[in-house]
Amino acid sequence: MAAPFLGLEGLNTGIVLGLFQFAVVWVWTAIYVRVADRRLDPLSTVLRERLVDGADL
Amino acid sequence: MIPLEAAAYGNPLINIGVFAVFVAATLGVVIVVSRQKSKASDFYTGGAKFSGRQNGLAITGDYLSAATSTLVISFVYLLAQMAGAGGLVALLLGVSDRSMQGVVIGLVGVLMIVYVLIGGMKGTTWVQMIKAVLLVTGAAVMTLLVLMGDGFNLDALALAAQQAALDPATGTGKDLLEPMGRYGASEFTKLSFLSLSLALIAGPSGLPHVLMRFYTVPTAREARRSAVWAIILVGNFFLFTLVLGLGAPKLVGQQAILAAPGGANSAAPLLALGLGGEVFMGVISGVAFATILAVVAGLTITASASFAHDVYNSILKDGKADPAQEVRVARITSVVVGVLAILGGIAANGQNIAFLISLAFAVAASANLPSILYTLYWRRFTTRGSVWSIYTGLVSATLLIVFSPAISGSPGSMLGEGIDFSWFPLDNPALVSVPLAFLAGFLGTVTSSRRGDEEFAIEMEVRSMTGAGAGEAIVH
Repeated sequence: MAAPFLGLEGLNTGIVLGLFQFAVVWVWTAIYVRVADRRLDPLSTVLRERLVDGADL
Repeated sequence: MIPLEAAAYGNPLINIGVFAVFVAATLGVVIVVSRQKSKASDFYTGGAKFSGRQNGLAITGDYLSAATSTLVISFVYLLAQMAGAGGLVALLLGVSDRSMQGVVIGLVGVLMIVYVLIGGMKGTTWVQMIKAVLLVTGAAVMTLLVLMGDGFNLDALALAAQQAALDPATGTGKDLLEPMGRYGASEFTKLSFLSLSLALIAGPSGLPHVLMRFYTVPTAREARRSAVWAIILVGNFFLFTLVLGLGAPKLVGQQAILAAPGGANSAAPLLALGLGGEVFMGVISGVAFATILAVVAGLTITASASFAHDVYNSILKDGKADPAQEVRVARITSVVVGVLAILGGIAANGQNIAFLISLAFAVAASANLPSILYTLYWRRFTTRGSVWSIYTGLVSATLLIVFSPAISGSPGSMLGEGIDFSWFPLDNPALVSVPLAFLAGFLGTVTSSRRGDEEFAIEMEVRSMTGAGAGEAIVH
């Protein structure tokens, strides 16, 4: 882990892997938000409208 | 290396001035927002059209266990923040005497109580928003300044920091870039690191004052938006701290940091002093101070709301207390919690704050997270399972901390090396206490004579997914 990463002595493998975590978090968040906005929200809107209109499920 | 005189850390007069400006400005905001016409219960709902003033855990659990865990976690976290405030102010005002630092902590506590009593939830929320902007901006500016010194070459910065750390004249001589440098000493310390990681992952989602934030949004969509904002802001902030953490040993030097009043906790203000001079240091410290104030105010109001609603109204008054009574109890509780936090903060003064916070996270991860996850994803989960899980997590985490090397028996421990009653080998209890709480929740549920209310669970799920009926109180 302390080995240089692609010749970078300061940013060793461990630190680069640590930084990679940030990228992973952001990519996953973006994917989740996309799915939630496009697929889950329309479904929950339909459900809410039916509930608010007083219709039983 | 920027020269740093050993005796003077910035100009105390400038620091006091900046502090005064920050306190006056935020207090002004608090007074203005709280002047707007408000109902009594706004004291802790912030006027949100939502039933979230119930403790989130209390919805499926019982009030007493939910309130107990909220109070304990809030207290541990408050203690860390108060100690931090003491260390910060001590550094800026040049107060190195322990008893005078205690006085400073007391003043911070009084200020916090004033914010909470005047501003309530709404005022506290405003202070938190202001400080979030200031904190991220301040950290971003410092990060840019540090990176500019190395032509935006992070690799060069890391190497320079490493050199300064290895040089016995400025650093501690320890390898800064070696992975697991701090935790790699033995198998136990490696396990400690794993335990700490678990606490840091699971803890924040169980912190009561963070949970409370999510009751102020009406729909899943809004909650998602909040979460995305939080991820962006917090993610960037942690990237900034990586740069600042490399900048401090390079520009200030570890020796100079450790010699300053406040020790390791004063790294950021000293870095600001080196980067931008006395005024910049004052501003950055003012931001840090505002952050601490906002957090302690948020914690205090969460703890007092939990006590007033979950214990006073729901248990003592059988749910029949009128809102005015409840708010009066919440106000009194704020004062009591504030006084306890001052005393605890004075006792914890001088400890590493990041470490104290990791303990609060461990308790939150153990006491709250298992119940929350079970409630969300396991329809059969019962009140009994919730109570067992909360108490098991709370008690096991607390006991394991008391008997850990963090409290006694090691050179860096709270009571010092001389007193030793530690038998638990890990610094952080999460690795043991979180699974225990999950197990207790499972056992409590399967041994319940009554099955979990699946209909209620389904109703909750539909409500949370669609936001339907978020404006009405949930009957439970």
